[in-house]
Amino acid sequence: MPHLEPERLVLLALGEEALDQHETGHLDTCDQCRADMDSLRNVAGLGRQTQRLRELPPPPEHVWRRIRAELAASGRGEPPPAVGLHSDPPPPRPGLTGDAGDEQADPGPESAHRSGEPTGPGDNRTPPGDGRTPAGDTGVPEDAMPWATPPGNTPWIAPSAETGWEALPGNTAWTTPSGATGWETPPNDATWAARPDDDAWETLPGDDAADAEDPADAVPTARLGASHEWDAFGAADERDELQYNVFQPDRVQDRPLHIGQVRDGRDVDDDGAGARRARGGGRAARGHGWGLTAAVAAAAAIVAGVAGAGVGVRVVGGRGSGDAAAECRAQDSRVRLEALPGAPAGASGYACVRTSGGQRRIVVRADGMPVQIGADYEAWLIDDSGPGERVAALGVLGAGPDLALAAPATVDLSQYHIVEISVEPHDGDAGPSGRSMLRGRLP
Amino acid sequence: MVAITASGRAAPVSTGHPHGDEGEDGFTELFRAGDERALRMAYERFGPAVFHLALRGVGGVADAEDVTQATFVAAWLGREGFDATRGSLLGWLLGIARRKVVDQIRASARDDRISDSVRRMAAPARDGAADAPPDHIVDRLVLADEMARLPGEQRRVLELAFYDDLTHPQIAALTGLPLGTVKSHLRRGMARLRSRWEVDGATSGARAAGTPGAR
Repeated sequence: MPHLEPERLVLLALGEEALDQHETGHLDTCDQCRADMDSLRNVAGLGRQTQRLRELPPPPEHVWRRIRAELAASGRGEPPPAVGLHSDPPPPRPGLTGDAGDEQADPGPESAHRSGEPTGPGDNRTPPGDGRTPAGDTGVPEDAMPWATPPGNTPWIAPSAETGWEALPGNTAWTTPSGATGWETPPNDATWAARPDDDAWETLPGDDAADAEDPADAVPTARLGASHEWDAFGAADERDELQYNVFQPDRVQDRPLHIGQVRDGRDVDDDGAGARRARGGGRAARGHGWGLTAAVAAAAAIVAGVAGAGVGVRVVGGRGSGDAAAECRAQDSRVRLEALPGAPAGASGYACVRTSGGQRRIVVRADGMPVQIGADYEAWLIDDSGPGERVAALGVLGAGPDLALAAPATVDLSQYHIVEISVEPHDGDAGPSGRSMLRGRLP
Repeated sequence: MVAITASGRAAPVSTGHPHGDEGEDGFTELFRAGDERALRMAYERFGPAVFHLALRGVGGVADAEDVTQATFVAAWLGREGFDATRGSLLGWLLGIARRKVVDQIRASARDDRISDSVRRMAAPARDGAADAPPDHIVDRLVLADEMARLPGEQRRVLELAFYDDLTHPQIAALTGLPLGTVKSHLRRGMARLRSRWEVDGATSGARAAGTPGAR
């Protein structure tokens, strides 16, 4: 008898058909056909068990951060220079960096990959307890963070691999992120926050002078630890666009963060950072507010960088901009935000980039997202062009479905292509939780 | 230099792989050439499979995260040992992950012994059981990956056969495809899965021996 036909072998291996007498006889004597048969049966058996493996959940994002940190620490996995990923790195800014001394030393292109990360094998476990910090979930040797010590009373903004940026306010005692214990003392314990204010930009005369003159209302100016991380962005220049200011905490409670509008025109102020703080209280809520502050401070840093010498940024607020600014117009090309594994059924969303008055804003809309208890939805911008993701917080969407968020583009949108919406529990960790629900890629 | 080697190999890499599509998005070559964007791509694409294997192989999520981390770190540092002519990147990563699972289990057993001696408790039954995760987990992951790479219609036919246990006449009736086409899809799809399995499966000889420097 000739060898079994390949199609016949497959059908037999799949168990669709049974061997007849001749075929059985052939298999007994033909090693080749028997080997084929055994192999195909194995494959069929294994193939039937692949169904649940089609949509495996990804490992938590912090695993990636640890990989990156370990590679950076090993000295063999240095990523390509961050500045090299940008088309137009800015020149050094002596006016901003001149008096900073050692601490101001350019942390170098690899710094983003070192900050807030363990520095070697064996230091990889998440420390016990609430060890999560805004800078990461593991220990941070200070020498890995050239910017870890703020110079004098100067407000300080430092890049972070995790949150994108962290604001380290001046005029306050603060503690460096110390290893597993995290932020023992958040800067200026009552927490910074940003809020919208009435009008107009405010330009401050210099870096430090303004703070010294009027610390209560001073606008922290930026020192750019690694300004090339943010080398291109559209500076806000219109009053009715959202802009940001960073204020001292005595004004926080009555004027909470205003970072977006509810789609139907309701202000999210009532349910914004202030409300979250009130609800959550204590460390958890503060941590969340801190994350938002970080994003806002990043905006301040970039504005200062673009303008050269110290520049104050004043929130103009979303009040004037109304709903319309939080909607994608017909001419704005939308990208769908796809539901990721783990997202609630029916969840969907879209995002678009709006340009008006030379400023780019990202409008994010999510639908079908159930209300979270003890958590919020937060939108992030992610740059995945490099070896590691860089993440910038866009803002919190709020507690319910059908919310839209408008935020100014404070980052180079040619780098930050991915918009993601994640569930952020009130756990004191300002970084992305990794529980991403929706994701889309901007054109 | 690696980059030169890699670029010089670019064509052989593609054709050398049994399916030739491993490098379709170019990142296998980028990976070997040391472009860290490729590491991120590999992590996004294969991290779920590595993490799954780790979860199945070790006790808890924390250990599985450690295994995943160790796997990608070792893979990156040992990337020059990756030979695309001998298997896919996923198969290579899973091979590393299996060894990392063994390492993790051994380390846990060691810890257990230490703490046990302190507590004067019986040694855990797990001691000495530092076996790699069962081979079939790797096999399934590799085949799941190959399934995902099949042309759409071929994949659909195989899914109906595998998951819904349909016969080829039933598949033809359901899909409207001619019977011969269904049989052809089954044959070709199975041939691809088989060839991938033979190259990348846990029991393939190349897999066990092929990763020097990636420990």
